[in-house]
Amino acid sequence: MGTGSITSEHVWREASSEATSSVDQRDVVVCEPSAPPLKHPDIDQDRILAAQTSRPAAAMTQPGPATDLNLAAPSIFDAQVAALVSAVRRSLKTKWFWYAIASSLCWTGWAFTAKIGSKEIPPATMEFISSFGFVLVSLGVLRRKSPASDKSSAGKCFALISGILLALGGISLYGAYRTGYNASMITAVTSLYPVVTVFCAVGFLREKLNKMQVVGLLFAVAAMFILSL
Amino acid sequence: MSVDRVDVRTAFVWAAAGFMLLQAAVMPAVSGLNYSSKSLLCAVVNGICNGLGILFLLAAMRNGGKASIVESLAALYPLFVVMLSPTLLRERLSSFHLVGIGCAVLAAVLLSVDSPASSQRAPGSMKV
Repeated sequence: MGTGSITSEHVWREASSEATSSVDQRDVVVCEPSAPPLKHPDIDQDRILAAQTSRPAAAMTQPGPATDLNLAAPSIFDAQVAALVSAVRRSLKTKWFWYAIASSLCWTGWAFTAKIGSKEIPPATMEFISSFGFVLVSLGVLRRKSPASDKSSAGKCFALISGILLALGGISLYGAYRTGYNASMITAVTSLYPVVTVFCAVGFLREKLNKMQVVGLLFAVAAMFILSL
Repeated sequence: MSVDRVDVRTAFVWAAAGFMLLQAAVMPAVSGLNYSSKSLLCAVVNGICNGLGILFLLAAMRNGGKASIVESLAALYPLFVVMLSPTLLRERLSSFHLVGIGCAVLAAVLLSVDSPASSQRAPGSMKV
């Protein structure tokens, strides 16, 4: 009698274990006291399930505020792109940008004429003859009166030095070509001269560059190197 | 530093004077008349393009452009050369060139992102 007897405690344990094993976990969640009552249980439940399946797993594990930040991320990105576009548009309205592009286009013409002309004319002779073209532009510029305020001898001295350095750069380039070393490598290395300008401008002229421009300079260096090979 | 003190035209003329000072060093022993008129014309146009390029560069700096940005933008001219060479020189572009073009375009966009203060027009800007 002692071993086969069933007490009321046994009956309660059996009943409670059966209940927990048969009840689904989802039903437990739905029956949470904190969950708000659903006006249209079928429709709202589908929406909740759809939202849960569409969210990434990492976002589902995060609490409420972090999930809100994730949803707001595209709008921050849009704002950054809009700021970038407006900054570029602002630069497109400035004169210096278009003068820089005009300068770039002129040097495109310089590169093409150098390529065609140097098929017959040696580089050093090409440099000498092309200086007459340089003089022609100077004569065209001299025809227009300079402002009376241009009395700064320091400014003229700096301009003179820049012209001498320009000529020295050209002579050095042709000297490098004469060494017989790989011409494409010489061109690639010499095309990186703006890097020196940037360092000098930041160091001596105290120019400040923003983050975008620094990244742009890195891309420019990569582009100059790749395109000159 | 020059265009901060004098007008673009004055700066250019003095730069041209400095440039011509050293041309004697590369003066050829052979007469220039030994070459075809097409090549000679190319050489003179080459000098004109170079001169105009420097003139516009000085003008960009005079009009509020930073030397570091203007110089880097202007130095992207191989972009135009590579893009025009299939048409003008009948050269073929490689995928390597396309990467370079992409980098150059991206660089030009990012370099042109300038603060409003620095892009203001400088006094006494040049009229070309």
